[in-house]
Amino acid sequence: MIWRVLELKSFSCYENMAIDEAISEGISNKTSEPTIRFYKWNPSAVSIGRFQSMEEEVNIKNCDNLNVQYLRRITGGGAVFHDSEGELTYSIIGSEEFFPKGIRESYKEICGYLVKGLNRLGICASFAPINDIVVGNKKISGSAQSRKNKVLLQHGTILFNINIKKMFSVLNVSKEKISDKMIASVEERVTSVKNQNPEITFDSLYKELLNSFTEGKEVVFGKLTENENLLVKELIEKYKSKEWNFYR
Amino acid sequence: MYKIKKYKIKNGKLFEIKLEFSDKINDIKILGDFFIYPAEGLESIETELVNCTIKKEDIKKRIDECLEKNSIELIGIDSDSITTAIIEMSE
Repeated sequence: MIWRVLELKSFSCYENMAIDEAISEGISNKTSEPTIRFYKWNPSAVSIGRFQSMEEEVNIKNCDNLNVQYLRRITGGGAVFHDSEGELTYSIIGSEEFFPKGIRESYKEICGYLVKGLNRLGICASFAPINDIVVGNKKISGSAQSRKNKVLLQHGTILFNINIKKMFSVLNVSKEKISDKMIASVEERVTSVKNQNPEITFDSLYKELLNSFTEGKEVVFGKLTENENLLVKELIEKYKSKEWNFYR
Repeated sequence: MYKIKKYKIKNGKLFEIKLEFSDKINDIKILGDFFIYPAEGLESIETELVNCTIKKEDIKKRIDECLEKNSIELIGIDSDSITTAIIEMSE
């Protein structure tokens, strides 16, 4: 089986989520190849989990003021701040048959690629079920998975260089919680690649993770198909819509 | 009566219930950072719970039957936690 790898690029949050969904639909319709992609978010954005409430999770006013976009993902999990310069995101999309049948086991396998890549960079990362990767007891990566029409889509974020103050100005936490005490406590629970080793560059992180995701696989560097691009255009409208983003 | 309450499951996820009830559930929304496969299963559970009497065994039975009938898998949340939360909120 040949995996398609898409070039690392920055997109808006709407494009990023539309691309992931369009590829999933293409694979389901047997018109797209299984795909691995790494991407960034520009402008920065907040994505919330499928079952969360936008109004409760996101400080919309601060997002608007800071030019931070926001949208609902099709995957579960929690709200994530995607800093345009502070994180790397991956997606792996393929037929369910290529992955362990059990959801927990498939999280473990795919998160294993991240663990391997981070370990090779000298970061002592390990998988923390259900869907996290930690260094010691600090989270460095979180993932979320959807399964629809026999297609598995898993995407996740790797924290490269976190800006906790900005993160908490766009995520909806009370003023009491954003006190210095709270920020200190978050810093005790979250880490980043730069926190672990300031020498590691974004490019070396990307190359190592690309390597760990693709080794042992037959891969071809490719582009989105015409069908996928058409679907992306349609799906962007869904991801921009109030009906989708505020439906819970 | 309308109530909103957040719950954290030990070794699990955070969830919130918005509950409108009298002697039975009039409306319910379950929100949080958990996972449900397929995703549409959450609406099925919420729909199944409407008009259910506020009794532990009735609520749990409805959720479990809905999970089985629709082959729904919950990760980071379970029927016991949802049931306990609804009962606590109604007291």
